[in-house]
This record gives sequence, C-alpha cells and structure tokens, in this order.
Amino acid sequence: MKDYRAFVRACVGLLLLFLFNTALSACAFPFSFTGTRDAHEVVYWTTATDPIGTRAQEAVIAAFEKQNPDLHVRIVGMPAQGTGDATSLITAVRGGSPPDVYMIDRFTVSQQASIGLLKNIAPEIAKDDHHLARSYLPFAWNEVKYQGGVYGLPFETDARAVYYNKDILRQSGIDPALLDPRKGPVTIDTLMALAMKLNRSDADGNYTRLGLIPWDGEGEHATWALEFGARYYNQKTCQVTLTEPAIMQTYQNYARWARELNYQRVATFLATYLPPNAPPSQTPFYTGHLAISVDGNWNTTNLQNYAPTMNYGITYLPIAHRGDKPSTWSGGFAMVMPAGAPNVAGGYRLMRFMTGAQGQRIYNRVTGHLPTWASLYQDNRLFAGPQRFFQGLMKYSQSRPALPVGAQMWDAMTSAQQAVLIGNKTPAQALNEVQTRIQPQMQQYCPFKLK
Amino acid sequence: MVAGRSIYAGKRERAHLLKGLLFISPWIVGFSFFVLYPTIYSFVISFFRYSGIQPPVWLGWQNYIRLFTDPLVGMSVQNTLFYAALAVPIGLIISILLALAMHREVKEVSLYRTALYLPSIIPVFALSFIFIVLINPQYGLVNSLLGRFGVPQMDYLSDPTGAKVVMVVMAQLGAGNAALIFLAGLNGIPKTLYEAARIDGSSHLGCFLRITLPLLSPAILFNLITGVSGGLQVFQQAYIMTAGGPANGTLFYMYYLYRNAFSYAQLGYACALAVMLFLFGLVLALLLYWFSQRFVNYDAS
Repeated sequence: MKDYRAFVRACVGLLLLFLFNTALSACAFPFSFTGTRDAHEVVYWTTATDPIGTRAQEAVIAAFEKQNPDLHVRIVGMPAQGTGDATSLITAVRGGSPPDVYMIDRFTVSQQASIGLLKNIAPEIAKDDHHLARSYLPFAWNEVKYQGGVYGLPFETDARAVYYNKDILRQSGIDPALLDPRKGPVTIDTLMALAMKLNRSDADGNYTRLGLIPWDGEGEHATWALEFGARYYNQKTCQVTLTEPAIMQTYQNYARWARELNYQRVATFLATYLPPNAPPSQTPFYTGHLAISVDGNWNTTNLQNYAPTMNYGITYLPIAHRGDKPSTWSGGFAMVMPAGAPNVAGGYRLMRFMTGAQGQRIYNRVTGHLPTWASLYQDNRLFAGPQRFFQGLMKYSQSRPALPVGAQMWDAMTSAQQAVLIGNKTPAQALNEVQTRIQPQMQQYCPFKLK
Repeated sequence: MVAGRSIYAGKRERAHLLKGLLFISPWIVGFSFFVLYPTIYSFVISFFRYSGIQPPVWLGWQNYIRLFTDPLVGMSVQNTLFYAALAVPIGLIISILLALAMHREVKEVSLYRTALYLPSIIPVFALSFIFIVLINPQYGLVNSLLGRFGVPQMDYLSDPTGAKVVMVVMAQLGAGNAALIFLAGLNGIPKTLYEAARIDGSSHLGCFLRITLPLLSPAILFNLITGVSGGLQVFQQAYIMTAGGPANGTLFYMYYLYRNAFSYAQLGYACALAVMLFLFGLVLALLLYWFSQRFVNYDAS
C-alpha cells in the first residue's frame, strides 16, 4: 500500500515537472534562441542557390553594401522543396529567429501572407515613396498584394518561348526559317507535325532523339492553359474554375500527345538524357538529343554557359489557331519580409535596393532574367543578343492568379497532368477531382478579390 | 514490531524508487519533452485550424470529417498499404535468410556478418540516390541486366506502381537490422534440440520448420511490429526519388501529412492525419499481438 502511495506521489511529482517543462517551453516561444543580433546586420535568405543566381545576388549585395556602409548582409541559401514549401520559414518565424529579407516565388506570396508568415510592408512603403507601385510592372505588383496589404516587392520576372536547334532541323531537311519569329507564331499542330519528323529511335525502339516533348520543361499545364485563356478563378462566385474549357483543352492535348509519342518511351528517354538531380549543364536540348524545347528566357544564359556553340533560334509559343495573338506567361520572385523580422529598417532598405532599378539591372544582366522595374525596359543594354526577343515578348505576357491556395492547386494540377499523361485518368476525371479538392480549401478565404 | 519493519521497508523502498527515478530522469525529461508533450499537443491541435503562426481556430471534428472524404487520403492509404504489404513480409523472409547465413559455423563468419550487415548502415537518403542511378533505363545496372533477358528498357520511376515496387526492393537493403535480432534469437536456441532431432531422423528443412521457426517466433513478432510501424511511416524515399509522383503514385500517408503541414500550412489537418495514423498503428499492433499469442513461443530454454 505504502509502495503504491510512494509511486503515486512520484508520478504526481513527475507530472508537475512535466507541466513545468511545458510552461517553460511555452514561455520560451516569444524569445529568440539565437541571442541578440547585430543591429547593423541584415540576414538575407534566398531560394535561388544555383551558381549563376548566387553570383548575381552577391554582385547586387556588394553594390548595396558599398552604398550603405552602415549595413552588412549575411546571405543564407535556403532552397525550397516544391511550390509553396515554407518549412524553413515557418520554423524560423515560430522559433523567433526569422531572416530580415527572403527571396521567394512571387506566386506564393499571397499564400504565405494568408497564414501570417509575412509582414505587411505598406507602412514602410508609405514612409518611403507613395508612388512606388507605379514603378513596377502591374501584374508583378498585383502578385505581392494580399487583401489590401503589400507583402513584398517584386524582383525579377521571366517569360516562356520556344527554343529550336537550327542544325538538327537542317540535318533533317527542315528549313529553320519556318520558325523565324519575324513570321509570327506557328500553330500547335504545325509545330507538332514538324517535331514528329525529328524523332529517332535505336534498334530496341528507344528514342535517341526527340523533336519536342510538349509537356516537359516549361510545357507544363499553366503555359498551355493560360494561352487558351484560362482564368482559374471567378471572383464573383469565389469559385476556382479548374474544369473550364481552356484547362480541359490543355489536358485533352496532353492525352493526345502522350498517346502519339508513347508516354513510357518518352519517360525512358528523359530518365536517360535528363536523369533526376542531373547537373544543370545536362539537358537533352543542350546535348543535342532534343531539337525543340519550351523553355524560359533564363535559358539563354544557360545556353551561353553550357552550350556556347549551339546554333539556336527563339520563337513564340505555338498558337491554337492561325491568326491568334502570341502568348506567354510570367512568374518570378519577390523579396518579402517575414513576420517578426528583427531589422525592419535595414531589411526594407535591402529589399528596396535589390528590387529597384540598380539592383535589378545588376541581377538581370548576370542571370539573363527579366526586370519587373518597368523603366528598365527602355534600357536596351539589358536586352543584348537573344534577350532582345523577350523585351518585345513581355507585352503579350499574362500571369497566374495569385490565390491563397496556389501551392495546393499547383500540386494538384501537376498530379492531374501526370495522371492524364500516364493514361490513368481521362482529362475530365482528373480535373473534376482537382476542382472538388481545391474549392473547399478556397472557400475558407471567401470573399477573395484578386485585385 | 511488524508495523515498524513495514515502515522501515517502505522508507527503503521509497528511497530506492526515488533513486531509480533519478537515474532514469534524463529519459523521463527527454520523453516528456520530445514524445509526450508533442503527442498531447498534436491531439489538441487536430481539432483546430492552425497555420503555425496565427491563433488557432476551433473546428471541432471538421478535420476528421475532411479526412474521411479527402480522396488524397484514400490514395495515400492505398499507396502506403501496398508498400507495407509487400515490404514487410519480404523483409522478414530476407532478414531470416540473412540471419541464417550469419549463423553458419564457419571460420570466416565474422566477415560474412560484416558484409551482410554493411548495406544496412547506408542512410535511406544516400541509398535513394544510388537507386536512381541503378535503375536508370540507359546506363543503370538493373535495366542492363534485365535487358539481357529481353525486358525492354523502362523508367520504373515514371510508373506509379513501378516506383512503389522500386521502393519495396530498396527497403530490403536495410534488412540487416532485423537480421541482427534474428541472429540473437538463433543464438538463443539450444543446440541439443537440433542434435535430438537429427538423431530422430529429421531433415534440415524439418529442423528449420519445427525448431528454428517456432523458437524464433518472439523475434518474428518483434520485427513484424517494428516493420509494420516503419512501413506505415515510409517517407524519405518518396520525398527524394519521386516527390510523391508520378500521378500521386508514391504519395504515402506520411508524405501527404508532411505536405499538409509544411507546404500548405494546415497543421491542424496534418495533426488529425497523425492522430489517425497513431490510432491505426496502435490497433494494428494490438491485433498482431493478440493474433500472435497463439503462435509465439517464449519457451526457448
């Protein structure tokens, strides 16, 4: 009996100890575990950790430090796994040690803002420049706004186009002039027919060369759906519209292309010439195993670095019907300030510099990305050589609607794309599933206005 | 007299108890910090909508209702069960075979033990990258071996079932850990039993089926329960090799849970998923335990 009582008492003691622990750990949350930070330091996280991007950011930051001798910047590479992955940021904000500035996918800003991860920088902008919004491309500015607040400053942007290897075309008896952008865009059917003639297989039936893989690279669902006029969202009814005709058409095309090219054989081809985790220099387009590729403007810099001798051309994305206007879409990055950032003033100065005329000029010259600072489009020095095409292309560009459920929607649409390509689901089945999955998530944010 | 002795004994007992508790206190603190507290916290949070940053919003049972209607939960459960149903039994068979090989009475047995155990110390992370190369359709070893028998080159990771099968095969390289436990079990079986059986004219297979297997049964039960628990929590391979694809073919339950928590910031829903996994695992372990009582023999001595 006594032993029992002693045991109970010990247990109660332990429970108290445990509660004490809990109280301690709960109390500890508002404080940083990292100690006090140097007031002159700005901690900058970036998701762009590739060699070229790193070089470019270091150049911008060197210029910033030169102009702001009272501040020094610490760069921390923090690559994200997939769209909207905020694991590191959630942990850092919750642990009380967020960076002052973070470069993230602009498309995910409204989602991160909706869960309270980001600081509304409208007050800092008001103190700085009331007309700052007008300096940026309108679509890019829209992406950093969320429910009346401003949660970041637009950084670089991009655009998608068709790259073609002129030598392969000529070897196969096709005149590369057919794809000359001065003649305007060709239709999807024309391009596919042309590409099919470039396919080559070995004795076992494995592809050794392909003309075009219309779902690979930047040929993902958004590229085609936006071209066909997809809206994704109806703000009157607060409904996502993922079964709309433009998206349905995209997935029907995927089903047809996967049948025509044989999806499994293409997958084998890609695993061979573009294995997972391959270095950036190893893509089938650079190694001459893919003749035509849908890719972004940043590809010009990669080509310069990894395939400097290739004789290639750039043209518009193919259009659905003859006479349609050219089309492309733009994504890009934004500088955001996480909630609870210790150095608000210094952080804002860094964001402002990096996304301003000077910062974007340095960055985009190194990376071959496109600026969101509107006046830079007048500066022809930024658009040398193959970049010139994109300077003119931007006027046709659209952007994805920045919804707070963006990451889930993107994941779901990508899975649906794979299911349709593999042949597991019909386009209607796959898209209906996405719609029924995403709409209840969107419902939580209703009413939601995009602009 | 009697009462006095009892008090004395009680005091001594209590002192022993406190000393004992003091000795295990690092574990108690660790356990309460890193296991008990998060478990209770997860359970509470599963009734809220919680992004990790903003104050939680009470939802009642809504997260649990959503869980039963979410098609991706169904899909991820199917994927996980497919994986566990293949990986666990195959793993048991392979690890018993490994243990038997490690148990041979030959001079160089320590060499065999090291060689057979070695693959198990490779982290899943590294193994995943090795496998990506091994099964590469063009220059991978697997495809080139299969190619000699006329099997066409194929990218197994681009097929939802193929990718899962790859991960089942990959799991077998970790069989060494379970094999060590079986080896300990094998060492505990008295040799006299085999000698007696041999005198009675029993074959090798007969010895294995009638002596080895029944006396290994506690180890089998242990490895079965830990195997099932590990199988239900499969995550890393899918995260590294396929990112849950293709077409959600390797979207395992833990991976979907992770995505909800960290990509979509729905910690409440993720916690509800975790609570369901915990309950499912618990029920499964109890069932296995109950079912095994008829088969497990604890009487090796």
